[in-house]
Amino acid sequence: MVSYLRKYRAITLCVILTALIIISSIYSLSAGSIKISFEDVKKYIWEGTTGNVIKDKIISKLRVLRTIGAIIAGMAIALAGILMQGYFRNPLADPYLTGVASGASLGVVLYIFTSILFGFGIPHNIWGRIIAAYIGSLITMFIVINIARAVKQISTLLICGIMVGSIVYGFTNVIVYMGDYIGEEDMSKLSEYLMWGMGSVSNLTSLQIKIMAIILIPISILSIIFLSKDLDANLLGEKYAISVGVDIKKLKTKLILLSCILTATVVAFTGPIAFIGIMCPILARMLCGTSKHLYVMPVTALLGSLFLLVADILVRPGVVIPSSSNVLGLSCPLSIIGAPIAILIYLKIRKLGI
Amino acid sequence: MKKRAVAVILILLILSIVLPIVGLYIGGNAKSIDYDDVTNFILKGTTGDKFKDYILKESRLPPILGAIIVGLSLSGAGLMLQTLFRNLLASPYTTGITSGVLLTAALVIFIDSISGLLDAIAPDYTSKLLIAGWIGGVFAIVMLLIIAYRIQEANGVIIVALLFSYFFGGVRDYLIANAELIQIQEYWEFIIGSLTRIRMKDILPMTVCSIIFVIGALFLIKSLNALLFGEKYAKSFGLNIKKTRILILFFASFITGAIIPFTGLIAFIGLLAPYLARPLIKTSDHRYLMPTSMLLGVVLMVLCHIVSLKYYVPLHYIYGIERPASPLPIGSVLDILGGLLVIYLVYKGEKKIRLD
Repeated sequence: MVSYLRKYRAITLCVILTALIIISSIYSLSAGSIKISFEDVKKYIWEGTTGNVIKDKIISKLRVLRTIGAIIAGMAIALAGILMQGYFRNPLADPYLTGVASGASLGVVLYIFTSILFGFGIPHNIWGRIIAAYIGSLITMFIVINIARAVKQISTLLICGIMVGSIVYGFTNVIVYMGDYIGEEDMSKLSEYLMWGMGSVSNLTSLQIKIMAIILIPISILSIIFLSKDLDANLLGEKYAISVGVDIKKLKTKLILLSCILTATVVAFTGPIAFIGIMCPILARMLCGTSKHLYVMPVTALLGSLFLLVADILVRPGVVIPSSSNVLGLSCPLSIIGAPIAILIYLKIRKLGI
Repeated sequence: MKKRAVAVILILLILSIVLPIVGLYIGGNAKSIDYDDVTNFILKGTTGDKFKDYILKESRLPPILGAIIVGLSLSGAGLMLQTLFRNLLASPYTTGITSGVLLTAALVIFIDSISGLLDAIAPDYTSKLLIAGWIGGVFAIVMLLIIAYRIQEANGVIIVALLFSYFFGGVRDYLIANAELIQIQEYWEFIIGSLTRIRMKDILPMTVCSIIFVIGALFLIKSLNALLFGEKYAKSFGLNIKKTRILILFFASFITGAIIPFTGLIAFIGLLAPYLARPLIKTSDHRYLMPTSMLLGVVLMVLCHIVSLKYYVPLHYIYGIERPASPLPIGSVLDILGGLLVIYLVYKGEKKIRLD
């Protein structure tokens, strides 16, 4: 009986969250430094045009890409968070704080470093960027796992992750300042990495979004369907999981690979996106009132999309900050909301006994 | 043991006099100034040309003096905090003091209405910055004490402080984005941390504050040594532990609040210098360790400054361009070095991280 109630609760939550995502994406089409009225957005959605060429272009070239990008990226990062928490069995594990997202960005940054700045003949394109992100995230993940074996405190692990973030930050700045040296035409290419370094979905192109959608959506759905039972068993302890017939080694490898792919694909294009992977799983568990992954994972994914969409709306000039201002990075709203939640989780971690 | 320490300190002292002079010689991109001019400037105090004097005084000298002051005081503060928290990862940055200072300083620099609030207390811009920095430092210290009281894990304080600095950073970014007409270049140099921001008129207050800090550090050496052996020993030694703790935290936030507003975020020097100083002199007696890490901080900062000015030299060979680049912010060099060091420290295993 109780399980039926939980099922309905999760389904209702999913419906509510989907509705919220639709509402905020419609708002996201209208908000920005140039306001487009809801009437026009309605017209654009039903008839395919607002009647004004410039407004059409703004919506189709900028706002739609941004909105879809935020939805996909948020979903993937939140799911990567829940997979990683399953692996470490700790609610503080998150793609950003453990350093995996930063490792992916380090890969991308070093790739840009070699492909643009030095004339070694390495081609500079999207695929190189993704592959570099994968390699970077996998290497960091293995380092993190090795540290986690030696170290019992989660805080030490997280310090390590944050330090990877600061190294990336240093390298990104070096690259931006070197762009000044290289010359005018490459400068425009490099200056977008300033925004990329703070996390941003504003520079996404349609090809990048297609790649993200093709890689991320199937992986997310498949991992929700196939991994949730094993994750439930793993939550109760490795011995229990083995006794109910879960191949724990295989499961762990899957978790590592999937969370790296989810994180790296997003990070390659949007830059490091912080704290989504820590907030959404916790909130989803609280909302669902259960830790059963089959219910928690879809809710987490939807929450991630919603959060990133709202964060992206907040950083646009003309919404909260004045429209004359320079564009703000996604790291700003996310760390204002996320850091206190992370601190609370850390301080209460022993009391909750998670 | 003592001989080695004294020798190391002497060598570092010589280096920290020689390196700034070297920095003065090669530390700029102005082609009109050759080595003879610098020699004249050092020996006689003038090059004979008003314009060259101005360049040397206003653009080459302040960053180097700033590097000396920053290295000296931040690494001293880092050593104090490490002994206090009994943790090698403690430093003004990793305990969140720097971020607190940066938040309030950014408010004064970029937002006119807030800097107008301080008009009543402070006569000019420099003292406004100082007051704002100290307010931020005290704020961060109070936060830190509240956290430290609740946490028993060794590295818990540091992770929570780092998370707090994310929070401060978010608030800072939002407030700055609200400000009108900010120069993106200026903002970035401030957030990354750059010595070229320092002007000649800022040097005087920084120097005074760092002299006060060094005198305070000399008085604290005995208590620091007592703290090193544990609280029980320190008590039997006749030390007022509460008072010592508050004094250490006060001095650390005092000096951080006096320096960071002028330079921007300078992160890891307070962690690098004491860490490298310990194996150099092979003792943790603060009578030797304190001067060694301070001088090492100076040497490191000046070296990083020279690197950040001349980073494009290898690119000359690849591209063959003769155009000098804009100087790299020193914070990015320190970020890379410091991040690598902390990861190494953690990787070595936290069991081995001890103070002795």
